[in-house]
Amino acid sequence: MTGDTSSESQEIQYNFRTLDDAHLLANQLAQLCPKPESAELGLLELMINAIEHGNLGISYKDKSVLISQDQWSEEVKARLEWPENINKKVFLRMLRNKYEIRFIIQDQGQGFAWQDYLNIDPNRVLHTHGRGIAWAKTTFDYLEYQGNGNEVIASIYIIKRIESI
Amino acid sequence: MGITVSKSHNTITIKLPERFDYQSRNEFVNSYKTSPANTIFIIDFSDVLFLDSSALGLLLLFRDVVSKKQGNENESHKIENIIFMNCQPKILRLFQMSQFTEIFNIL
Repeated sequence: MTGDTSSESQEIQYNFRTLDDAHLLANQLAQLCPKPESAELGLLELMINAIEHGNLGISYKDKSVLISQDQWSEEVKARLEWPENINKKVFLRMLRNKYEIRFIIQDQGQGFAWQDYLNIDPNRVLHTHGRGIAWAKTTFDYLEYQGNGNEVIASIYIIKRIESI
Repeated sequence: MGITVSKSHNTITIKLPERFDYQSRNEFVNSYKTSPANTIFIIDFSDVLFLDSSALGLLLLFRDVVSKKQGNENESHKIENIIFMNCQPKILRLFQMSQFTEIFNIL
């Protein structure tokens, strides 16, 4: 995990590869947000999604099988070492001004059908995964996937948060 | 601090940690996997302040194991001998959003 910061532009850039990196970075960045636990949840869901479904190409069906066989985290670790994945990273930019904190998360995968996961599907209530993006959507004031889904923008509005206290 | 488990007669109380996610997997599975079919499980969320979507997967796998021990398969209704207690409001909101209130007893 690497990072670069500029106090003048109030922009921080990171890249990361692993689930452990995602956990650590989500926790750290969330401390800069008005509601850290809520922000951490949203960031973590988006960051893990970028690793597993983005860079590592684990499909929805793959993940269902892997969880049921208790092999999910092992498969993620294994795929991180595949030759085609070894140099892949997820890029995260955090931009902050007096009005909002904006996160832009971009992976190097082929994208996915993000439209299917913006809301909780009642037909998937017994599925062991597939709720992370819908959860993330509730923790941010704005969330939008771009293009094929390998980039997501998520914002927290600071002014609105302060006024609501 | 991790998961704590206490047993009384046919009841197992599983108290979850402040952060409950996939990293709690082994400890959580060990807390219920050898229990007999008639066990009543009380899942105590009083310490849980953070729970991610992977934790829901753990809870659903747990539900599946308990259901199968009782001889049920693919049941979409509540399983009577799993009870969630003491959820913080924000955790309860996540359960409601995910329709866990339809498949778990949440007190």
